[in-house]
Amino acid sequence: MKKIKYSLRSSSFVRMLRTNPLFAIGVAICAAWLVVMVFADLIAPCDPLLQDMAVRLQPPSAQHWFGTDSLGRDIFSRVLVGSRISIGAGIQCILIAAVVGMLIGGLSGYVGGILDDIIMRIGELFTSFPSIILAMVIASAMGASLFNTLLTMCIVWWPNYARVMRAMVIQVKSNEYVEASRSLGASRLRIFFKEILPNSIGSIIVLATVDFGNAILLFASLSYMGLGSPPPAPEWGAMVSNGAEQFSYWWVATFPGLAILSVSLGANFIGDGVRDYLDPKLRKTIS
Amino acid sequence: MKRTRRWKRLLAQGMAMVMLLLALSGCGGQGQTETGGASADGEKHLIMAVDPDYETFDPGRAYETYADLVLHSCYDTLLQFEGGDVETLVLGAAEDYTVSEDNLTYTFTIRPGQKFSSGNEVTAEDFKWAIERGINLQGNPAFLADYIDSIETDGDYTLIFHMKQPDASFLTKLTYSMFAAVDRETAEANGATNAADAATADTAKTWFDYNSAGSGPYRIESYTPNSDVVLVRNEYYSGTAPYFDKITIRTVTDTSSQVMTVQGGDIDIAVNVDVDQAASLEGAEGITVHHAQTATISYLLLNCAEEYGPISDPKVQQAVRYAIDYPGVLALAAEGSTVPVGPFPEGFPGSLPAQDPTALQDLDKAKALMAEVGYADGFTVELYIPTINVLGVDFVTLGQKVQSDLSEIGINVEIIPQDSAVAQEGYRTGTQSMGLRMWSPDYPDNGAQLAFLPGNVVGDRANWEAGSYPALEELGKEAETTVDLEARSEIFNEIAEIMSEESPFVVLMQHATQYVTRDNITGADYSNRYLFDLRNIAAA
Repeated sequence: MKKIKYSLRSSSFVRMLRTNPLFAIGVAICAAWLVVMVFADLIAPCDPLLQDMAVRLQPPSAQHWFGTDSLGRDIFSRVLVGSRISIGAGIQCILIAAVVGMLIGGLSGYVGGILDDIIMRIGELFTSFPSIILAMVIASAMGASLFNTLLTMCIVWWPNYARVMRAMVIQVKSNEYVEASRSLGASRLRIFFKEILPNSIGSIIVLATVDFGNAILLFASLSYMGLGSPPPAPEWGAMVSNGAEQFSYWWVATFPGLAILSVSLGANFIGDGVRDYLDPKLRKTIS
Repeated sequence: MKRTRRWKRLLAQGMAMVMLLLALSGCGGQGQTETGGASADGEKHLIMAVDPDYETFDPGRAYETYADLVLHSCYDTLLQFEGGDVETLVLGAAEDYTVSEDNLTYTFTIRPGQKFSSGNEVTAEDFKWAIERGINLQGNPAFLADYIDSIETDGDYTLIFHMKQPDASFLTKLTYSMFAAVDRETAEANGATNAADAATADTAKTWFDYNSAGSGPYRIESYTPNSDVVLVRNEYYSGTAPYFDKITIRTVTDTSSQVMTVQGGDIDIAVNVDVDQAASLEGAEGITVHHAQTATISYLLLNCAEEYGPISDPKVQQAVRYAIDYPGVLALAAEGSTVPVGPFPEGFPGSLPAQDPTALQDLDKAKALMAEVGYADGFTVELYIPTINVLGVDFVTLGQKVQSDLSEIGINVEIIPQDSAVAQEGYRTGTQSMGLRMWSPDYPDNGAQLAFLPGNVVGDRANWEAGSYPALEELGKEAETTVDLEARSEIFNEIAEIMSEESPFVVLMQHATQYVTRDNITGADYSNRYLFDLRNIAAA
């Protein structure tokens, strides 16, 4: 049984690549970035931390493909090596926030009643603060470190996932097959994990892929405020905010910005494709 | 269910109102289009754009850079600076003054016939009342009067200050609005008092924010927070009338909008211009880019308490000084930035000229100093940086330059960027092992920079305690009380030489700034006291 299911999935993956060009592009972009992440040190032509005031703020050239920043560092090398920090942080943050939000939101929607009210009010409490301010408060209370920053981002982000998950669960739990499962005597836990979760996860995945770019940006602004990866680490967001101050030197902000754009675009495309695959209703209408 | 819906509707309506208000206030700032220079009806109108920091226009309470722009135009002080010069004091409301032999008594004669914007005459009593009010308000500028023992009037036109101890910076301090004449009658009618409990009893702050009661050439006609301040002529002003009939100081927080409006001819002066913008505007038609030196310095603070490790060692501190690539640091700053001698800005009375930046780095000497105290293999130290931009210099970028320079002599710097409020707290409590800081003198006199001496305000922040350098501290005390300019500048030069060699402060630069005016504007010189002396600005 298991084997057949697996082969079915892999063949549908190939079919999606063939029939959904955006999904294919997304996969290609993300795969390319994964390769860059792994081999960044080998590909980068310069030391990303090496300063050279003699060549500061040089426009893109054969020697410095993406130009140099205000301290004369090679932006191309910094963007490549920076992928490790930025993409890594984005993935970790979204993964944790999505899993935590999904479980809490699922519980809230499935159990309902007072528990639902309490959880949702707590979630609203977190969302009612601007995320940056909340993150600053939490981080200054706990002290600054990479781990705390990721934790902070998860605390800021989980309510989004909890809310979406709750709405999905409330919708799914009234379906006949859930009713059927309950009539057959399945435990609540089994119903939750076997029937409800798999049928509500689609929206979470879409939200996660859309949020991926935002996560990189939030991480960027946090590390700019001293929470997260400290300078001179070539973190994309910090590079963009540094470049935004020197607007007439367009290349300083543009290339790390394009890197963020391409990664989040790729993640979005993949998310769309996955949603199409996971949502049987949508799949029918498209094919 | 119903209740929640009503709640939601209320919330939605509330938010819609807020957004509407925001949109309206946004329009207010940009809706008016007035032309610079002379307008159609012959009224001479100056419009400038600033990104201001003012909190109040109460002369007894205000101590912000941009507030002086307004206050110096509306209030006359006994002595004042003219144009961009902060080295030479000139007579203001006073026609003459004498200082006693022991420097403890200052006697000012006030020029008769000066009038407030209400038409009332300016008397010594108005000065005495206003200064006492400023002292008793205990606001930000009150410390300027710390050495005053008592104030006395003799007739209508003689004002006498009795000092607790000689204060060499006293005459410079007198240029602050706290020492300006305020129309007592008008002010008291609006809730002002000079009583000892003025800090709580005085209710005139709001009135002063929207009105003025001074004897300067202008008066506040209107003030719209976050939008503009409009100054018009004080028709009773007795001195030489300034060129412009009306001055609008418009709040434009975005530097690129400031530049665009000055290019479009809608305003005459754009004060806040980025380094890059200035470079791109150089040579543009119809406008002039000005470069000026400010008194703001950026420096590294090295903690002297032993618990902060090797960085507290005086030899290591010296090594840090020799390791910095000063021309590289200046490349990050506005054109015209320099490296002063110690913390004493070039351009203050009696200051030494700036140093040659190319002659300051000496890596061999730095390495030798490190080896001498046993740190040839280097060490790791934390550098705390507020995430601010000081006059076009991004501190985090500057910190990375320092980090790279210090790695040359084996010091491994770990940068900790902090929100400026957090960094300020670390600085205030003296718990930064190493900090990147900026300093703007409280008043344009080297006396203000004595704060950097051991045991004084800034010295304490580096745990450079009183008694750690007796000879230097002795010189500091002497400088504080020596009034004779020549003797004083000699003492200051000696202090500056010591500070630039042995002190826990490595001054990286004295910042320059840039601003843009329309070509026909004259006399718009940057002042380290008033920002701009609006009395002096004219149009050709």
